[in-house]
Amino acid sequence: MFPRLFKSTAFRTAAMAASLFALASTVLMALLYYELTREMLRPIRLEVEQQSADLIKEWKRTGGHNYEEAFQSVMSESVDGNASQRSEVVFAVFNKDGHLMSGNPQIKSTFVGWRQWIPDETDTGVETDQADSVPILAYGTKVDDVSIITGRKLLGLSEAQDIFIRVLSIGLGVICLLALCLGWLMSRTSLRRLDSMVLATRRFANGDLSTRMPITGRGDDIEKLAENVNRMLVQTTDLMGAMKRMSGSLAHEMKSPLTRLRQKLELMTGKTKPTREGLVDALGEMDQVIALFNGLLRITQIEAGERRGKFESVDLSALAKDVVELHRPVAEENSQTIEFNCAPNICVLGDHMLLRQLLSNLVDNAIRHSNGSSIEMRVQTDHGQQFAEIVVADRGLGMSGEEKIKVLQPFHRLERSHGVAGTGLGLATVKAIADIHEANLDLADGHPGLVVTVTFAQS
Amino acid sequence: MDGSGRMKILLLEDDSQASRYVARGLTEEGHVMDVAGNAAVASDMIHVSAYDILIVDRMLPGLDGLSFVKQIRREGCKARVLFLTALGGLDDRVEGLEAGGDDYLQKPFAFSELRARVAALSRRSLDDGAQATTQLDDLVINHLERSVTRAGQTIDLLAKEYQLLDYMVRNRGRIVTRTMLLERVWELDFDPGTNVVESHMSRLRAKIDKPFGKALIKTIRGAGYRFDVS
Repeated sequence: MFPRLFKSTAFRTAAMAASLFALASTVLMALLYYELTREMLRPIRLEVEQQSADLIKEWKRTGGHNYEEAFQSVMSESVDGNASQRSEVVFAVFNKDGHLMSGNPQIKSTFVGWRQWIPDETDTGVETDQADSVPILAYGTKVDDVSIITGRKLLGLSEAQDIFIRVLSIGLGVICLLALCLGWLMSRTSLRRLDSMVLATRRFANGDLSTRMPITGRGDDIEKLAENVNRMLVQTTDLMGAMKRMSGSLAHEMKSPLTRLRQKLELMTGKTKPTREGLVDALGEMDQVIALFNGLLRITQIEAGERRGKFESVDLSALAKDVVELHRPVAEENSQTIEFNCAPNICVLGDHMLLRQLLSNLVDNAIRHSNGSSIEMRVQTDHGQQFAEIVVADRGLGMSGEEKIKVLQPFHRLERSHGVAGTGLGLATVKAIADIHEANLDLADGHPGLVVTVTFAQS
Repeated sequence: MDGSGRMKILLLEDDSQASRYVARGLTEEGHVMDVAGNAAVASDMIHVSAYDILIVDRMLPGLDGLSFVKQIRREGCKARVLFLTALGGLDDRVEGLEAGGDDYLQKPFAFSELRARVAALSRRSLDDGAQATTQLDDLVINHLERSVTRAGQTIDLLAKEYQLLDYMVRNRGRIVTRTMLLERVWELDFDPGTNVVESHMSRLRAKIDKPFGKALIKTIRGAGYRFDVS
């Protein structure tokens, strides 16, 4: 559980946010600390500068002699004689060789200008009532080869800084902890949801096709993913069903001619002598199997959609006329008439050969299933000329609603058409061709008969 | 290429059993057959002797049939090429023709189909188009006017009927199959239904044969049709 938690996206995001936030807070607080310290030091600096100037004045007045008394009076003046504040004052006078002439031993060497430092613990100071680690801020000036240094022990400041730093560290710690907790909580819920999704996909992969992703109605992004996966699962289930039906019917369709073929060949190996008719018959059965295979292969190829890249404007009117003329002799041999009504120059974007096959299959179908009655074919557009429509109607037995759906699947042949020749792939091929042309295929009742309408968006 | 239609043919096919069968069949037809199992061997053979026809399987080990034909066409080989394909793709035919093939046949095929196509390739241009008219027996075809008379009588033919007759006449004396007619006369790469070719053919015969007693177009059972020349 734990390593997984650390690996989870939500946790990583939370951890990253926490560290970024911590970094930002640190920078902010460092700035605050710097500004605040400077602000606190400003009056002290002014005071020290003033004192330094006073000391120099006293030094010059005494001419470098008996200066200590004069200094004492400056000190007591400048700090208002307040005992506690007085203890903060430090000063030192160094001669030109750098030896301390008087003042605090914590000021160990001479310098010019501002300096701030923390004295070592070994500097055993005169005033021991405070910790030696209190920082000192001092200002040094050179007068007549002598360095006069005066400054303050920053007692209050260091305390304020301590408090400040303590508050900052606690604050930062709390922020990081909270962010991590939030990350953990977030990743735990999302992990639990992901777990259920992983479980669902595993069940599906193991063959339980009814499994779907859990939908709780939250409508967030994970839910959207789940919905999409569900849509995919439904489609996969449908496709698998179609495949199963298809391979089932394929096996069935192949079995009949193969069984007959086998029987015929077996007979000829026995006492019956092979006759030419027998062999031609056997070849006929074989050809039927090959035709089935080729028909199915063609549907697969059409569905693969390779042709789509080569679509061009096709004159549907001319194509339909050709196809009607192609089939007219067959119809007339059956004493059927084909009534053909067509507006000229109706063009759609498509594949010439495939559209020809679509039209041809529809007419062929109508001729074979109309019980010898007449057939009607129309090619027309709507008034806005946005759609082109092919209508093929027969006066045969028609189909029930359920049959209309089933008949578009490969090998589905209606019970009563088993006497009629055909591979059972005609309408399935039409469906595949209509689909890659994004055309709508509609089967309706003609009372009597079947009316097939294919609607294209016109180019 | 003599009048008898005897051809020197190279069969490029890696399935040795299939190629033996095809070679035997075409030898029986009077053709001279050589067989190669891959493109490299075939290439050598082409350089050694001239062939009239190459029958090339598209799926070959090594260099595939399509690339092989492209290559020999670049090298200037003028032999007619018939592709055999087991691919069954929608564009097989177009691809084959673009690569420099003259015809294509999908596997598995009937031998009669292969025989007819080889025959069609062997004398592909009985170039009647160059002449204004062709006379066969008492049938006269005027190619310019696209009109037909038999025994002096004008016969009215529909456009497709004329094309059908024209194709039969150009391939006279040879069997043409249903599929060849569908491909060449109607330009279809699919089977439009059982009786389409038969119905058109019987209409044509009703016009050019029936009234005149002697039939010029014969049905060859299980194979196709033949325009007979006396």
